[in-house]
Amino acid sequence: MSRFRTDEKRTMGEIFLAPALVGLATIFGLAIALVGDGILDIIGCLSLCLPLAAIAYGYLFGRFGARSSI
Amino acid sequence: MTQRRFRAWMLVHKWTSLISTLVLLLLCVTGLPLIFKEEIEAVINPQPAMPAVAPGTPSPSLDEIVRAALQAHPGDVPISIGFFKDKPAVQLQTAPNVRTPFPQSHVQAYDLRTGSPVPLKPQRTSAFTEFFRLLHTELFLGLPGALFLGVMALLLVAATISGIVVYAPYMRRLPFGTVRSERSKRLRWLDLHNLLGISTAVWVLAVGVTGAINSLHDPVAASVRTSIAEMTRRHHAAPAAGALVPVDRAIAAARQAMPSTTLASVFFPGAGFSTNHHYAVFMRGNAPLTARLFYVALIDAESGTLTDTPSMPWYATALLVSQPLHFGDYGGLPLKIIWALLDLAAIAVLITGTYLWLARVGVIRAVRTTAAS
Repeated sequence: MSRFRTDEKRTMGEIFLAPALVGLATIFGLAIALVGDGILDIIGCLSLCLPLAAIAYGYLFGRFGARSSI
Repeated sequence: MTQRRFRAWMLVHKWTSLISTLVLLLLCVTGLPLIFKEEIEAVINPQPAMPAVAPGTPSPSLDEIVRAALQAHPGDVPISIGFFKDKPAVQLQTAPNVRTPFPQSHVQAYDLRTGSPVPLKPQRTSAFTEFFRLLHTELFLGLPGALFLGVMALLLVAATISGIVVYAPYMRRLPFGTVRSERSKRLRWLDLHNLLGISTAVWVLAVGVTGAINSLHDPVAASVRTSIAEMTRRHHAAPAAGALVPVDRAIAAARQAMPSTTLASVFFPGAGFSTNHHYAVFMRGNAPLTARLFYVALIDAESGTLTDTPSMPWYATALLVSQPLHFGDYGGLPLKIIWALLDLAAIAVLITGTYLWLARVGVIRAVRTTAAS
């Protein structure tokens, strides 16, 4: 299946899988840096980079001329 | 999701966003310098570096430092000791009597390692940071402004949750991260809005909820002051302390009662939040989660034993625990930079959302037509 295939409806699980992972990484990052310093801060920062990485990925690699779904 | 339900959620998303967008934009922009408040303060209002101390130099006790301060101002009595957060120094306040107003009292910083006076300034906020803080927290309108911003924060939460709900129908046939740049400009902005919004949704929810909680800061702080005053009132019947135990002993008793804490300040008997018979020792938590929480210990000034450790009201604890999640200042500079980037992403969500609405109601086309003619 092509990454940009648009002729099949995706399930709710498929639609929200990536956002849920980004959301969980955000929660983990926010929480882990709160409970300690040092290495926990570094892990927290790395986790919180995931939403930014997702945006960068979409902006840099998610471009195509697909058919609109709406 | 049925079409009817989708439309209902879209209406919630549209109106909660439209009502709050301008204010949220202002909050996001004014929040940026506040993220780097400490770094900006260090530039605007720099503190002198602490002098180097030879290894093995014996540290004086706090009582010796208090005695030195009293010798500098004969006739004064000790009022309070404030501990600097990031420096081995204390700020000692003395005055002719415990009821002397603060501006008339004598305040001097001392090096904890040597006991010598150091030219550290009291930890105050510069006019630049204060301007952004007041604009960000109350729009220069006091409590009504703060409560208005709290309502805007709740609208942000509603807009984010409804945005997550309406995200699914738009993405039925699109993989995560799709930005259709070769179609119409509106589709590209829609995809960017969806990508930015869904990626930052959890962070925006955290900042929005904690922002709404923080809008109650002033009434909660007033309530905490009242609780502390009531707590000390219970012990006001005790006779005035005669010979005081050393302040170091009072601090040791407080440390023993609250082991995982750092010293914040000490009030001598009769001053500030203490009673005539007690030292009031204020501590703060050691972990980032508890760093803003205050713990109070009333120490009997004659015996040096612990009298009471009242706890803060639950709502004050909730507010103070929520603050790091709003300010993003608990993981050093790297976390602050990430916080600022997420803030910029939130600004982009607001701008793309506004563009989409303007394009939908035809404003963009009307402006282009007018410009072309």
